[in-house]
Amino acid sequence: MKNQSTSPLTEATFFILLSLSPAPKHGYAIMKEVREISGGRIVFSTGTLYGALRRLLEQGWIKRVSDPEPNPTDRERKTYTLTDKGRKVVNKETERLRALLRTAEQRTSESPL
Amino acid sequence: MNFLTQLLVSVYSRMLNLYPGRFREEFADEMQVVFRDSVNETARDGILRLVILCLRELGGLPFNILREFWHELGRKETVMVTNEKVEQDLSNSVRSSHWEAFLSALPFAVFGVACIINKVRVPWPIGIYVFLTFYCLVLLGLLIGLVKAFPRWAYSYLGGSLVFAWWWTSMQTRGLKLFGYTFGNEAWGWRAWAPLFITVGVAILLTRSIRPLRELVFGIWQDWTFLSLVTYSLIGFMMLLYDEVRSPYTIAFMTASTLVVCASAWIFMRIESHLHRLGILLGGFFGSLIIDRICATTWDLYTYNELPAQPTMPWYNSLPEIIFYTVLWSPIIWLPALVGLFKTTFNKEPTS
Repeated sequence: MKNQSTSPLTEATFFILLSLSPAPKHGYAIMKEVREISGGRIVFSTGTLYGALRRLLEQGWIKRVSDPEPNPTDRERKTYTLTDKGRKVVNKETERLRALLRTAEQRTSESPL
Repeated sequence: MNFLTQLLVSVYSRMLNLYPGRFREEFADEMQVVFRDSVNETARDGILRLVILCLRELGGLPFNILREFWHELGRKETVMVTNEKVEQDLSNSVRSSHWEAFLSALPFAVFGVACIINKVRVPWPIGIYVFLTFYCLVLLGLLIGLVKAFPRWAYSYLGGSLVFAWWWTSMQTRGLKLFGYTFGNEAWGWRAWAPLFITVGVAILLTRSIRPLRELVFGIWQDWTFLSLVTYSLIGFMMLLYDEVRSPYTIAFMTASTLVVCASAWIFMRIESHLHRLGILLGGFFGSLIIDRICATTWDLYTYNELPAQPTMPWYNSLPEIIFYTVLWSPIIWLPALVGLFKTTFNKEPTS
C-alpha cells in the first residue's frame, strides 16, 4: 500500500474536514458550509463532493453515523462525522498553516519599507 | 417551477447511471437527494442561478465519472487490505464487479473481432494493423494494471500480451511500414517481445519501484485461479483464430466462439468459488471446441486444398476428439489452481 502523506491537504479536503469539525453533517450541509467558510471560492458540484467523501471514507478520516435529527421523508440522507484520525489530520494541518502564517508574518514585518 | 425541479432531478438520476456500479450503489441515492435540495434552494434565487447550477453539475460530470472509473481500476488494493475475508477464505475469492468482469472479458472480445476482421480478407496490411492495435490495447491494460497495483482484471491483459508476443515472434514482417520504418521480410523475433518489456519498464519507472511486479505475483499467490485465467488467454487465442478455415459460415462460427470465450471470462470474474471458476474456464474451452468442430463439418478441407476427396462425417463423430482435447487441456487450466490449493492446504494452521 502506498504511503499517503496527510500534509499538506488540498484546500477542498481541508474545508470538508473543517466543516465536519464542530458537528456531524449530511452531504448538502457540507456543501453549503464549505461554500460559506471558503467565502464562496469553493463551490462543489454534487459529483465532486461525493468523490471527495468516498476518498475520505476510504482513508478513514470520516465515517457515516446515524442522523441525530432524522427526517422521515429523507430515508437516503446520510450523516458524516470526523473520525479520531480525521480530527488529528485537521489539527495537524491547522498547526502547519499556523506555523506557516507565523513565519510569513515574521518575515514580512522584518522587510524594509 | 415544481415540474422543472422534478424534471432536473429525474435527468440527474439518469446521469448517475454513468458512474461505476459500486460508487452508484453507495452514493447515488444520497447524491440525488443533495441535488434535489440544491435545485429546490437555488430555484428560489431565479432561473439564472438554476442554469449556473446545472452547468456546474454537467461540466464536472465527465471528470467525476472518469475519476471514479480510474479509482475502480485499482480497487483491488483497497479490497485486499481492508477485507480480511480474502486472507481467511481458502476456497472462495472476492466477487468482481460488472466493470471488472467487462475489463477482463474485453481482450478476448477485441481479439475475436480482430480475427473476424482479418478473416474477411481486408487489404494488406490492415489485418496486421488490427492485430497490432490489439497488442497495444493489451499492453495499455497491462500498464494500467501494473501502475494500479495489479487489480484482478489485469490478468487477462497479462495473458493476452504474453500470448500475442509469443505468437508474433514467428510471424513475418512482410515489408511492413511502421512509424516511417520499413521492415524486411523476416520473422518479428525478439522485436515482438520488446513492447512488452518496455511496458513493464515504463510501469517500474512510473511507480519508481518493483511494486507492480510484486503485486502481480502477490495477486497470484493470493488466488491461483488467476494464473488459470492467464493460461486461458492461450486457449482463447487458439479457439478464436480459425486459421486456414474457409467455411462459408466462418464469421458466424467465429462470432459464436468469441461470445462463448468472452462469456466464460466474464462469468469467471463474477463467481466466487474457485472450483466453479475452473469449471467455467473448462466450459468455455469445451463450448468453443464444439463450435469449432461443427464449423469443420460445414466445409470440405480436402476439396478446398485440392486433395483427394474423403467421406463426409457428421459433427458428432468429433465428440471423442472434443473429449480428448478437453481432457488434455484441463490439467493445463487447472494446474495453477491446484498448486494454489496445495499451498493453502499446507499453510492452513490447525484449528485446535
